[in-house]
Amino acid sequence: MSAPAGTRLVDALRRLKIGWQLVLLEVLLIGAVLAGAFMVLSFSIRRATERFFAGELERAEREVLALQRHNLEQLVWTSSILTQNPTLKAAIETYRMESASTPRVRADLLGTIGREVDRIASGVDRDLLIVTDERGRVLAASARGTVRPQIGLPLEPLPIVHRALDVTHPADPANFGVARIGAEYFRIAAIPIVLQDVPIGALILGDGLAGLVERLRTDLGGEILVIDHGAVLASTLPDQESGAFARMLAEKGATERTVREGGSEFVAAPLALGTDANGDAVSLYLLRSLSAALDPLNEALRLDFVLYGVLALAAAVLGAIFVARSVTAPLARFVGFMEGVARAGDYSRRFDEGPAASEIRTLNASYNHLIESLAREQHELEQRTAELSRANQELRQSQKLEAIGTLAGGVAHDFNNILTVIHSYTELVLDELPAGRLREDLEQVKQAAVRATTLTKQLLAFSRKQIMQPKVLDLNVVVAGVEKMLRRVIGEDIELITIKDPALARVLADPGQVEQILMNLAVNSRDAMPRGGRLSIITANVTVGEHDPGRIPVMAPGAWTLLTVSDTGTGMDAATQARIFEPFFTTKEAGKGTGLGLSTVYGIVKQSGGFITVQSELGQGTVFRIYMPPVVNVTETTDEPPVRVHAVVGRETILLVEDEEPVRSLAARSLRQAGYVLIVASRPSEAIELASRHEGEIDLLLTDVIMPGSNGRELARRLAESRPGLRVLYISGYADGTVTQQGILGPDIALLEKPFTPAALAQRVRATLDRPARTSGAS
Amino acid sequence: MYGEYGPGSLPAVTPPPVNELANVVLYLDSVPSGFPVPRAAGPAEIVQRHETFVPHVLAVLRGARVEFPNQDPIFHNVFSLSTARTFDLGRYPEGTSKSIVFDRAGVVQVFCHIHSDMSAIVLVLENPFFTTPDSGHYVISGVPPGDYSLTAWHERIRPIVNRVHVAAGEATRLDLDIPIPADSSGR
Repeated sequence: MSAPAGTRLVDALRRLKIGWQLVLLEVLLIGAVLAGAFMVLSFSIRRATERFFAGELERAEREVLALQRHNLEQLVWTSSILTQNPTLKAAIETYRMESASTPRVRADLLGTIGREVDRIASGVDRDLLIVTDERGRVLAASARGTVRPQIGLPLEPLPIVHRALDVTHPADPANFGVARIGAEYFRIAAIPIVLQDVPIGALILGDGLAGLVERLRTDLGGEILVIDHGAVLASTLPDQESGAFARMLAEKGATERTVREGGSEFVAAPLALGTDANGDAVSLYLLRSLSAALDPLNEALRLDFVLYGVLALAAAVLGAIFVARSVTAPLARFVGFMEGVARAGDYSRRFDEGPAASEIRTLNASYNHLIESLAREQHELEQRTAELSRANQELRQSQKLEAIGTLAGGVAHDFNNILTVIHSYTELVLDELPAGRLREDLEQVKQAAVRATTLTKQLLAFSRKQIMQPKVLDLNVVVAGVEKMLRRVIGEDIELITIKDPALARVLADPGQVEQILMNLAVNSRDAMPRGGRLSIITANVTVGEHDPGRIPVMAPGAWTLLTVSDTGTGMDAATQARIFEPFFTTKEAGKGTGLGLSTVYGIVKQSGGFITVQSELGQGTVFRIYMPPVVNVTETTDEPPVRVHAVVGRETILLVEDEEPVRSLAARSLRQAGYVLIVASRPSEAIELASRHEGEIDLLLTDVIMPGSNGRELARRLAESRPGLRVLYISGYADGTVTQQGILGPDIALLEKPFTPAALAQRVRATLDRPARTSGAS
Repeated sequence: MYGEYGPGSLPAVTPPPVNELANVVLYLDSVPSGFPVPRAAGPAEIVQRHETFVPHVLAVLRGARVEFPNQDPIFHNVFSLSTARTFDLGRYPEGTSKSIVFDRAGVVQVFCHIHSDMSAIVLVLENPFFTTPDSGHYVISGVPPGDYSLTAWHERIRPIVNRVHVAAGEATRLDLDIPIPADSSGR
């Protein structure tokens, strides 16, 4: 039940305003600290006082002991005076002798003794002076007070008197004792009176205990208490208190240093005063009242603490209020400000509290930091959104180009087959046709076929189906190589500037294709500068940052090799820029351009893993930037050793596989003419069957790549199983990934591009056959 | 103790310290009166020497004169407070002597007024039948036959009284045991 209540209380406290929490905390802290300090201080004062008193009492003890010694000396001295009083001794001895033998009491002798005693007592500062006979009976007594022991009173029962009458004991502290004589207690000392070595009596000197304690108090201060068996014999304290003390000391023994009685505390030092009538020790206690010493101190201390506590509390409360204000006021302003920001949504506003506690300033700063990063992220979001939409646009554009490319590639594939046939037959006919009108016409057909072949090649290039043979190359070298030709192409009105980065990174590209890019762009620029201008070709290493404004969204940030081709020509509007890479899009008048130049450039760059951007301004000129991925690990690409072709004829056996009937028969015909033995198949399955039935050697597999059912590569692999070392020459219209990797021809693969002429075919067949044997011809 | 008229026997005394026996006096009481009292032989004296009375105990017949010669090079003042003879001889120097006649029987304690530790006792007796058993033996001779009491006196003990019968012509022997307190030795 109490735990939840306690938790509730803590929660309630936590919900209090900071100011109240601080005030409460400080009140508690100060209270605790003051109470603790008070306790510690009063304890130390008490300890110090106790020690001081103990030291003082020790001193007092020493003084009392010295006093006792002095007393003893005085006693011995006094007794010697007495002993040397001839009259007293003669009287005592004569009295003794005569009272022993006769019943008559010699009053004159007693008088003499009494007179002598009085005379001596007057010179000794004692309350009581008694002379006894040898048996301890009082012979004479002199007393200051009312108590005067009667003559004949036997004192021999007192142990010290008894002891004194035994002359063998020397005078020492044991000669002191406490005795009650009459109604008073005396501290007495007894020594023998000796005549010729025989004790004839005793001298007793006494001091009233009441007077003694008063004197001691005067001399030593504090309180004095004389106790015998729990009974108070004398005391400077009130009766009731000393009685209680005596009882307590009797219970606890005299070893206690500090004794407590009721509300009073004392530091006590016991001293042996002597023995009582029973021979028991009588103790004198020197007391110092701790309470009397400490009470006023503690009272003053309490007053001081209360006073300073109140002052400290007041200061603390003021401080707490101040601190709370310095926290809560800026907080309130801050909250107001934040609400304002939230309502307005304006992240540019900043909060400045000015001079405030560091926590507040930290809060302020981190809030501003938060707002800043919020603003930054919002900005970034906007940027990213813009980038995304740009990328979307770009993607749409490239998808469009891709679609067009696919279409163009398909068309080009078929065109190649058709053109191969047209080409081949035209040539075959031309070979046999004599000069004349018919032959001229056929020449026209042949030229048209050549143009169509070029167009098809360009279409393939755009659709990235062109077969490329990339090498690690230095663009600077390529630029330098075409510089002369470019000058010729652009004419004298146009200035050509090339700036080559000497540390330019290598790229992996087909050098012929790069030359084609440069040529196409130069021609475009030339056409844009009919009245002359400047064409700049610049190579450079660049690092593309993630947030560079010119970066194409799909382009990875990092190092790129940049080839820039810029002109000072007429420039293009945005609509034109959006479409320039589309095939057959041209701004030139009809017949002047094919509309495939920039498409080809685009296709080549893309096929090489690069990016191309155009930046143009009407009347200002156009800048094309081509980013090529730099080659990090330069491995030298060795050129294939040139094959020397001695003759294009041969007697070897060739397995020809081609699904297109016109191409198949054309190839077969031209190869047979060259002297080869041909096994002809229209499908891969047929080729396998024919090959298995053929018992002789097959020297070369000449196969189309793309065929129904299977493909040339697969066929070559299966045939190689039974005929290892079989040489293969592929025929293909475009790169489709079967024998090339994204159009890149592997080093071991021989490929003849369509369309081909019979002469080209014969040459490649011979070259392939003459090539040095490889360990694995099919891979 | 030898009877005057008979052979005496050699008495034996348990010897207390020898010098203390010199302070013991043995005397006969109740000698019938009218018995011829012989005169004391020679003058008795107690010398003051080295601040001491010598002898410490002197027994004399009543009526005897005792000289107190001062042989110390200082003054002495012989006095007595005793009932038997109270006197004060006053101060006198070395080489001088004063005397006093003790004409009453009893114990006379003699002190010096100047030197409190000097004391002597003159035991004044009624008859001449007394002696001091210095050596542990004693003889009282010339005692007429009869019944007596023999008192042994010492200042620290109660007098010891023994009845004794002395027959004519023979020695009567009486052994005594005198318990002299031990602490009185050295006197």
